Amino acid sequence: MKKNALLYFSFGLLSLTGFSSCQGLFNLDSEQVLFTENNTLDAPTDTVYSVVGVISKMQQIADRTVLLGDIRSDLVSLTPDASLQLQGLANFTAGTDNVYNAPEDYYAIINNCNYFITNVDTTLKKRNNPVFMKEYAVMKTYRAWTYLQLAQIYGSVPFVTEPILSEKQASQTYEKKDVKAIAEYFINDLKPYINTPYPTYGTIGETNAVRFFIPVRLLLGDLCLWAGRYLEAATYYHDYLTNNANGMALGTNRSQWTNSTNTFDGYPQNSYSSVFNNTGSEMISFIPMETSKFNGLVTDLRNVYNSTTDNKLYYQATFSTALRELSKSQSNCKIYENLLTSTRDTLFAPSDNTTNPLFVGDLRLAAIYNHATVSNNKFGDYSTSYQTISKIGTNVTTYRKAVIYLRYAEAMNRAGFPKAAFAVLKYGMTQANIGKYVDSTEIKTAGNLLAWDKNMFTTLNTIGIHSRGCGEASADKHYVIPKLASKNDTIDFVENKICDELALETAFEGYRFFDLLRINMHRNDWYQTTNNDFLAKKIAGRKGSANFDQALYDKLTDQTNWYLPLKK
Amino acid sequence: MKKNTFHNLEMKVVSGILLSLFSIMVYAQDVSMQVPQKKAVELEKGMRTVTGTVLDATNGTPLVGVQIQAYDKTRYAAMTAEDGTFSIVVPDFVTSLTVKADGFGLIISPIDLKKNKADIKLYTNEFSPVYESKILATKEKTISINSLNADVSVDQQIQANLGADVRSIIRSGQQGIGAMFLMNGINSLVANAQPLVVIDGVITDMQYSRMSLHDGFYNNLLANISVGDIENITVVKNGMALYGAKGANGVLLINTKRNKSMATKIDVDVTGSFENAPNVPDMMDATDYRYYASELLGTTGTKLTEFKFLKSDPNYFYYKQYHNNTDWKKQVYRDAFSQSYGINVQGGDDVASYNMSVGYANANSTLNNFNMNRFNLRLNTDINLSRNLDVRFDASYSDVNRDLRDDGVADNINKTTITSVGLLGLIKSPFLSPYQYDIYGNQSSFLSDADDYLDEVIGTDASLANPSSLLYYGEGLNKNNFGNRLINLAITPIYKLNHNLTFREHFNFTLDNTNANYYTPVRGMPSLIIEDVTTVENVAKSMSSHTNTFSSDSRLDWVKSYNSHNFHLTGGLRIYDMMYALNMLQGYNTGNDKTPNISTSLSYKSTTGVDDKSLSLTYYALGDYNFRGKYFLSGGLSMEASSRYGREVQGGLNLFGVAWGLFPSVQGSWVATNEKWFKPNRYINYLKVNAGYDVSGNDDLDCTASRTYFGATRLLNAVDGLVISNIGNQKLQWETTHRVTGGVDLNMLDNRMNVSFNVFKSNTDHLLSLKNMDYVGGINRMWSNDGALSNLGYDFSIKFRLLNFKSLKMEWGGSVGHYENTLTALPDNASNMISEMYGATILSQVGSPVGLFYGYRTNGVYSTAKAASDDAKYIELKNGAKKYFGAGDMNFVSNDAVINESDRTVIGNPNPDFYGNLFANISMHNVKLSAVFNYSIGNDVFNYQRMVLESGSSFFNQTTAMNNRWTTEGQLTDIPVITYNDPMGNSRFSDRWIEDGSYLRLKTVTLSYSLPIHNTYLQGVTIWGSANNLWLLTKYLGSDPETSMGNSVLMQGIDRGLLPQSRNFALGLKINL
Repeated sequence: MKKNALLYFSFGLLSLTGFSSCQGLFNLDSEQVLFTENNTLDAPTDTVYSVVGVISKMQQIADRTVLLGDIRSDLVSLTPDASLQLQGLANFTAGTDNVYNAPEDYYAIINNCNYFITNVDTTLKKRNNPVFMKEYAVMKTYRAWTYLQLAQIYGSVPFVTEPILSEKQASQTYEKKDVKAIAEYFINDLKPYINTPYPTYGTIGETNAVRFFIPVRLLLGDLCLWAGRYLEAATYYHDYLTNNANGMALGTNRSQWTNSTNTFDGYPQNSYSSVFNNTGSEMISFIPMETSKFNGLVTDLRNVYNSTTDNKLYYQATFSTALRELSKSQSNCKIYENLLTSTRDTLFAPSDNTTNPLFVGDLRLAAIYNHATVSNNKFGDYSTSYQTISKIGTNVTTYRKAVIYLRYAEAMNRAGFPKAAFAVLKYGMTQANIGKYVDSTEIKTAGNLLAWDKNMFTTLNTIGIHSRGCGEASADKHYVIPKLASKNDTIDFVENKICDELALETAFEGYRFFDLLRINMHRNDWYQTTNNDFLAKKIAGRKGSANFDQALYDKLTDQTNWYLPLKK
Repeated sequence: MKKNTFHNLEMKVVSGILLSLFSIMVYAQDVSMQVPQKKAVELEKGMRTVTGTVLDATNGTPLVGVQIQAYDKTRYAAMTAEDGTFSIVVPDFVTSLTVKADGFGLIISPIDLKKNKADIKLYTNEFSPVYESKILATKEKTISINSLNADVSVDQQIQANLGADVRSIIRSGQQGIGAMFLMNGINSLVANAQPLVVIDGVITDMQYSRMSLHDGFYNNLLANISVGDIENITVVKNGMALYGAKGANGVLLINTKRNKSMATKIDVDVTGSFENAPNVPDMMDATDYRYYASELLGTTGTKLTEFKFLKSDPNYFYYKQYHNNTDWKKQVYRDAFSQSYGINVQGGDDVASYNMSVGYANANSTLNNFNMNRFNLRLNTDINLSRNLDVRFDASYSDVNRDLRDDGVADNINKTTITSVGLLGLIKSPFLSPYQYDIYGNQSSFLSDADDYLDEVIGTDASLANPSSLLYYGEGLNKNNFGNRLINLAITPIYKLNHNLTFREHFNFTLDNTNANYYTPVRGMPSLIIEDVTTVENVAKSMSSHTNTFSSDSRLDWVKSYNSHNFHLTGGLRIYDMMYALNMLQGYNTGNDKTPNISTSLSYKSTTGVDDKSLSLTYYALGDYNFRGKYFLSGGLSMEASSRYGREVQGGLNLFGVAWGLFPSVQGSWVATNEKWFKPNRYINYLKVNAGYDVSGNDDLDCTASRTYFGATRLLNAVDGLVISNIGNQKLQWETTHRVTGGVDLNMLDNRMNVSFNVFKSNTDHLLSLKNMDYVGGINRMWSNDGALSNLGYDFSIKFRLLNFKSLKMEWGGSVGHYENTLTALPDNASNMISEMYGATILSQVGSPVGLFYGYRTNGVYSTAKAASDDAKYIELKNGAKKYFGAGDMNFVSNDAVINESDRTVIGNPNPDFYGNLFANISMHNVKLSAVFNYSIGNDVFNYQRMVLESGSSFFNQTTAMNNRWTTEGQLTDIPVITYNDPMGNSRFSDRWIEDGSYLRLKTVTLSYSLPIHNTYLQGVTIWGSANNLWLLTKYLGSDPETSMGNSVLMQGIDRGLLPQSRNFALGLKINL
């Protein structure tokens, strides 16, 4: 022992005289954490950990991304029990101290992705297959997706592609990029990985892990759409929907008055609300959330939208009058066949329903919304008003099929194919419908963009999205493009219809505010003008046509108020 | 020749500078000294003869055979003659004499340099010594440990005897639980602020921040050392250079006993002690509680109209079950008996000598099933291997085992299931019985289950455990148990290279092994709440940890005197290598109480681990110099590198690729009474003035905070992932404290009165703090060194030998300590930092002391609805709606109508104005009586326990004070209306719960009697008895104003109702063979 000590002593003396360096001596390892210098990402076992780590960071922003898109939109209104934090979002007064304003959580994803992308050994091969390529593509999509969210929320954000591993790097000033610049950057960044397959992790927590990843084509479609590159956007969406071996037909799930009677009473048939099942074919990707707080982050959206024991039944948000009016104003028709007389007729639903006031016009809101009055609870502090919105599940969706069809329609419309775009809403994408309802010039110009395999996309598996809630839209004489002065007017008209359809189809899913933002930008032709009337009018009208909020309108005509303020 | 050259060189380099500093004084003295040396023709040049007498101070009789020595020059010595006179020849530069005799205390007496005389009075040594044999430039205070006590750990002795030098707060009444110590004010905000403990020269990791499975329990390593094994304890007040980056909070040196005699000595100690059940708050009886509960039911919003427990028909089936009058306190608190045995053997010869001790203690706390036992073994040896080589070999082993449960009020009491036995003993409904009734209405011997009388109203979450069941079914080594084993091995070869130069290597290895089990039984317990997740039947936890510490301290010592110049230089290297690993397993639902072990079948299983490693390297150089025993100068410099620091620290040195902190210290002192112009007199016998400046550090940083790393995450309870969890701060470094000290030691009235006064002023900067990081890093906070605080304080102690008769002697004394702490800066230029814990809001604000209580002020209770509506004060609900205060609600002070966080203000300061001790010792023949008081004045305590016992918001039994609650319009009272869940926040953190925590406590009274036996087999027998905590003077409403619920400075003064200290009586026998 003494010898040992003397050894140390002489070692110390040596170092004092400068013969040796102490640095290595102080780099102690740990079994609890992994120091960056040891996370070299050059062994096959390293692949999963980083991806899983990033998904767990995605959980942090999942709820917030939905709430920022919904609460600030025209489709949701807060109840008197909403927290001041949510009120800040709805009023566009949220400051840097608002709990939903935490850009660091987005940058945590970006930083982990940046570390992986910068350090991973992409040349490593096993049985001649690149080991890290699949994960490399996944991490690139996560990073691009997160930047796109950041740009939508904050307008213009510091753009960092190198990992930040020191305080010095964190305190540097980084160049800021807006959504267009970010979109342009990542279009180029992601293009090479368009056909890179997903990693195969099998089933994690009862779900196929494939759904945790963001499809590159869809993200490219979004990026192009935000960048104003409509034709490319439409191509990516189209290719995504049709390249699949079986095709991705929209399906026929809908909420509708039954065709077997000539009346509109009782309850409509509802197969619509089941599309929000995580295991069904509608859901393409989502952020998996924990099912028990014991294991980590559970989505809190249910406590905002639904009555739970956690919130003592006091839900904080519900549909807005604007959404209610929009639903109600839709015409709903069915094709009634009288078997006795063998006659077919198109019947229009009445615009009022005294027994079930929600069962008018578009039926989707009624299909996913449930309200009841609870009387006997033993706790005095529980609410008697009980609400559930069945769209709110355990996971937070990033992409689902109807959204892709609507984005495809949006891109097609702006790319100069309004008839084709409208066909997505009214008829559904089958070769027959296209041939029948899209004019020949559009078909000719669109080429492959309107190619929908006749075997994969049939009337049996395809309907127009509008039919999901409005009966037989294809037979609706009120749901048509009128004759307008110019093609641009037609495009604007169709875009309004798409915008309405987005509202009816995707309310409470966190897309709305950003959809309005994007459409407003398209109308401005990328900042050529600063007409913000479109977005401002929609949101200021959320309390219904009779209660237009002029102050909010004025506020939202200034684009700086669209975005959350960034911390210093 | 070579040696001469070396000496010449030394003279030139070292002495030259110092000599020139003092040259004027030296010359002046040299000149004057030559005058009266006429008769001493036979004396060598430069020598003189000093004469004088030595008398016994009790009666003035001359003392014969007293040893007289020149101070620090042992070779000039003499003895007194029969008439007490002596004559000693000493060199001219000697200014004082050391006088010692058997049975008397050591005296250092100045020589009257004009008359060459020194008359000295000696005092018998039954009391603590007045002089140390060595005078230092640094300031220290040493106490020797009185072995006549029944203390389990030495903390009690530190508190009693170092009253003003160390502010000590005993954590609770659990046996050997230890104390929170603060020295020189508060020198850190979030890092450890407790002093460094050095045991036998080895820095000891006291594990202040380590987790414990049982709430309210702290693993106190000092409880592993038997008090009887400790020789002395020294408080180091300055001269911290040796301790490098670890000394900023002060240093406590603890030394264990070594052999002092060649003859074999055997001491046997037998001690028994009895402790009364503690004083706890008066709780309502069954009748009062029934009224309370039925009143509170009305506020739950229940629609039920009939309740089993409110039915008054004695024939009702459930009548007996709900009509008891149980004093639950008696189920959990008790009188406790403890015992300890120890044997100490010392002896040896001129080759090897040893001190060996073996002890066993069984100490029971006044809470049922909170027992501790300890076995300890210690061997300290000194071996002389050759003329130049000595080796010390020390080994010790101790094994502490405890039976434990949770104690005290938990942090978030409304969201957890209550498992604290002591708290359940207070809050459990008194109309229930610990035992079940059978169907015929007879009480059985089966313990009752958790209560269910509220299930139908507010659900099972309000159910409380039967504390008797918790104690009974929770008992077992594999259920609730804590074990700690401390093994220490040290080997210290000391090699004398030559007469002046010594090389010493102190190698030490410490292994501290801890294991604990935690278990809540299924029976008698309600469902456990896992917050926000679910409820489960019960929980089992198991923890094991070990700390391996290796340290090596190699040093060269050089000691040399050149006539009047005395040097002691030391240089060395210390390596301190620490490794701490912890593994904790936890799971729920064990099924039944017979299978309490952790197994794979448990639900919600989880594991926790810690793996901390740190290495520090310290080079140090120390120098002591004194001139004529009059001027003392010492200085030191250490440089320390540690694995905890970043690579780019500021204010240090970057060498060999790592950062080194530099810690210099310099002290000087002057013994004025040794000056030539001083004429020795009976009024002033000794006066020493000292001053010092230290730079010291605090390296209590997280082991990995300076590094960037990935941590593990788990997704969907299925797969593991890695994420960046920390972005390292390369500038991270130690906290730095600059401290100026000054002091005076004065002995007066023929050495009967001793006074010591010390002041300090310190500034600490580079405070460790969590700083906001730019969001692009993806991580909110990082550790940095930002923020500063300062301390100014003093301590004063006095000791006076009041009576000094032959058969009756009495000593009286006391001490006062004071500090003022000021936070001077916070990170990110913030003006304050707010922390929430245990129901309290703690404010640390620039310009004020750290850790103030920050809450609402109250102005009584609204007695009428009109008074409330006139005020129209309201609270704002989460959604912004207003809720108005009504009759019976508290009237909170506010500038506006809304009561919200902006109305909070400083409502209390946990720091005392003064603290210290008072003592008296009386000795009469063979009987000795001593009494020690300790006190703290001016500190506020947040009575968290009372907040829970008087909140009027839950179905916990309340104190009798709650009988005075507001119930009717117009009632004048200071206790508000009771409301379930307290929607108005009447019981929020306010000045209602802040109390004056000043106290004066008669800590110990000891009476001992030494049997007048002296023969070959029996050297002596002492019988002693002592009483602790006999008397307490305080206005505090809680059980004990002395309370420390955590080691953090921010947790000071929060009383969470841990087991209070109570009165205890001990009887002991000490036999010297």
